Amino acid sequence: MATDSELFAAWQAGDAEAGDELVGRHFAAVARFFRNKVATGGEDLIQHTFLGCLEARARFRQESSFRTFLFSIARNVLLAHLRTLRRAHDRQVDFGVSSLFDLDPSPSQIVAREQEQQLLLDALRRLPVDLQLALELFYWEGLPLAELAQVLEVPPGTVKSRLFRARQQLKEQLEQLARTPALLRDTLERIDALDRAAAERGA
Amino acid sequence: MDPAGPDAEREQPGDLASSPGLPQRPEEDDALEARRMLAAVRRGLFGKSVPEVHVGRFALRRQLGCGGMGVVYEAWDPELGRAVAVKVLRPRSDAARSPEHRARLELEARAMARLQHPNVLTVYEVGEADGRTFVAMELATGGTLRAWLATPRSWRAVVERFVEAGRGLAAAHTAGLVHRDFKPENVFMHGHTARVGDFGLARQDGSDEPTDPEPLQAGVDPRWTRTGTTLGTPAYMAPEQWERATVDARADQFSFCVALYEALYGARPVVAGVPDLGVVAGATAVVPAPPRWLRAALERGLQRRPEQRWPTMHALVAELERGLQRGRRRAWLAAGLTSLALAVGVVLTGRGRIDCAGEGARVEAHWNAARAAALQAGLAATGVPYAEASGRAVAAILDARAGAWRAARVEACQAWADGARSDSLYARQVACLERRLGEFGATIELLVDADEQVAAGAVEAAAGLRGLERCQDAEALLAGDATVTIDSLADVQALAGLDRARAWLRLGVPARARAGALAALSRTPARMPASAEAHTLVGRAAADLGELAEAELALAEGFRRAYATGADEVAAEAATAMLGVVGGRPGADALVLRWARHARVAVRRAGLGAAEEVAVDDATAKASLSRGDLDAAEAALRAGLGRASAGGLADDLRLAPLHALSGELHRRAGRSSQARAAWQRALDLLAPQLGETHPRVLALRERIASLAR
Repeated sequence: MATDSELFAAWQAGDAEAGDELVGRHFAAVARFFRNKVATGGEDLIQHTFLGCLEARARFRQESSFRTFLFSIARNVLLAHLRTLRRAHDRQVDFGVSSLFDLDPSPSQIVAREQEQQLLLDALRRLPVDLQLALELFYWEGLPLAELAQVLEVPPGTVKSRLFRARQQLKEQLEQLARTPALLRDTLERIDALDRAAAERGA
Repeated sequence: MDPAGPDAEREQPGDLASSPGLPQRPEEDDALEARRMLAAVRRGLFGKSVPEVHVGRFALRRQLGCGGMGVVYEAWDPELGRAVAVKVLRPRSDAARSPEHRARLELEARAMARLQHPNVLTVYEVGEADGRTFVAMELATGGTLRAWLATPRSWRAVVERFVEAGRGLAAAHTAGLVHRDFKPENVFMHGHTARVGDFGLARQDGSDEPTDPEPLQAGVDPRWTRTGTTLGTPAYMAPEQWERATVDARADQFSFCVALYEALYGARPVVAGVPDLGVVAGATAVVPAPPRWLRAALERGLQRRPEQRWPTMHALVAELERGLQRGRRRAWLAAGLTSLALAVGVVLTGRGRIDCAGEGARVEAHWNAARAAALQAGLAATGVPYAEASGRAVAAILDARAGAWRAARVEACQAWADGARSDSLYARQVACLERRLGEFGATIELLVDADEQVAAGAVEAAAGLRGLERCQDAEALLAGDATVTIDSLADVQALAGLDRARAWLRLGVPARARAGALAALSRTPARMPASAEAHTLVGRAAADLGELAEAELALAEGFRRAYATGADEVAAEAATAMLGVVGGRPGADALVLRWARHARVAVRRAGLGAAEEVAVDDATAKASLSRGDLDAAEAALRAGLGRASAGGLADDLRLAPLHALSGELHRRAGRSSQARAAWQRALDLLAPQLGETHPRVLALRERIASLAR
């Protein structure tokens, strides 16, 4: 099976089939990336992300994985989208401060089957965008710290403290959103389970 | 490359999060939606050869929303060649279906397809595909009643819309259908008329009771709970729906009254299914406060026990209509025609007594002798050598524009005062003209305060002011939605910001335009046509700044919102600008065709003039030229020039860019003499107006001279 890098090189050279295969491989991850962030029109952002890869190909370094490169493009596409969405102020949006909920309080269309999961998703949406991204990529995509640093465009040392901060704020949000102590406890347990899983894979 | 490199290691990275006991990753659990998204992205990237995802014969285009019991798509019906809405019910609810339920569903579906009423969205077809039930229905493009209500309205306008929706509900009841999920989100605006949609199939879980309210009471605050998939819409549910008792048409009546009460008084008179009219007594959401008879009518519809409500929806609607009539007579007697208060900045005191000449003269507040002198002085003060010539040309253009505006305004007013024009058409006409006047004023504002950059763009900015064709096109005005009505101060302020942004754009200062449009965006509710316009202007400005990715996103958003709110003029603008953004990409031929078609359709629907038609050709030609497709560019240019002379624009300044482009085309094709002729034509149009020393004129001369070398 061809590697991502090989497919990507072939796509750049005009091989649409290779491009199609590459898109098929990573579609689910990119779709997931935008899922808890935009209500409709996610496919446009997904498409822009893949197109963005071609446009930014010079930035693709062979030593990092294609997926990491893809997520960093996805992040740029998301931030550009949010900039046009912003309504709060005329000023620059600070993605370290503004959350998706601030920028677009309409509910995302994810409906979780379980309350704990729903609560977790809602709380994530209320974190500053870059903290939400950090946690989601870390928990759900299993991105190692070094690659997370590349996606978020921060030094590797900063990622750890950012994850710490994100976890703190997530718990604060959960405390505000959960209506019963039992739900809060169950949801916090899930986060602990995610953290243990991350520790096991050596992150 | 080493196959065991970083890519290979990371082939299946994410499985850890799906191990048991861990929270699930937020995957798309609707397989159809997942397939459609993938197909849409692949088609976007790799072209038409990738097949679309179908439900029955309908090709799914884009998701419009997800709520109730399923996902709603915009889809294409290839047999009848039209766009439709297709609602696909969730598979989970299908699975629970018993044969009896299936039979009942069929019955209901047939009844729905038979129901034809001006206040009900038409259902075309109910069917099953891949084990999932779908409903194909009329595509509502005008936004929901909820969005319409986001703008402050008079109580009368609100009640009129609800009376329309009520008629639709009543017709359904007569046909034996119960809606079971009436709420403002399920009423769609068609022009200025409300139509009820999302009928009948609302309940799919195999039981007669609507939803299981249990998840609501535990754990999560209802405000944060999706009111979609499994929960129904508790906020509007009748007590008997909560109690899982048998539900009939009177439950719809209750929901209807909750929604109308909320629209009038700003809060829902129900707490968890129990009517509680005391909560918000005295508060109102509309101005002036609704009359007492209205509250009494609603209180009856909000009775806890169905038998104490109005006997039928017909009876309630009749009561509301009676009340409206009564109120209308009184209003006429008291103050003449006040229901037209939505007309902007104009206080109407009754037909016949209105000062039409005075209305027309309001243009003088923006453009008068003092202003003209200030403009000349302002341009001269910038020190550009072409200030005098440019100043003369700008003044001449603004004189003509002011005259045209005055004439149109007086004509509209006179026709209305004579009783030859309806209130609603006149209100839209006034709003359209006011919008043009706002743009006119904003441009003059900036011109008077010119710097060198503004001076350079002055003539073209004046010439580029939008014409009045649309404001005089009754059909286009009545077909559009709220685009033309401005009924709150916030709107007026947001629109003033947009007018200024547009003026900056025409003056060739995109950075200021972008900042202004973003600021206006922050003041505009997302569902309003003005937000479509703001996105579009952000996109145009970004395009002028060379930020193509941002431009594309913003324009797509602008186009989508314009489409959703029926703002045809904005849709035309966004689609035309999009041509310039995506058209240069290699292989964009199909994309260019598509956007050109969108633009063309929207221009016509909006009733715009020849200048906007030609702009589409110009953008198409530019896109084709930048892809190196000289033949396509030439065809588009020829079409544009033809349209321009048919539209009386042959000698218009706005044609200069077209001729210049034509020159460039001929040069690239190696036809020097034709290139020279085209550039000369552009020069003939520009030089007398801009002045011989204007940079544009100098650049053209330089181009012509370069041909000789």
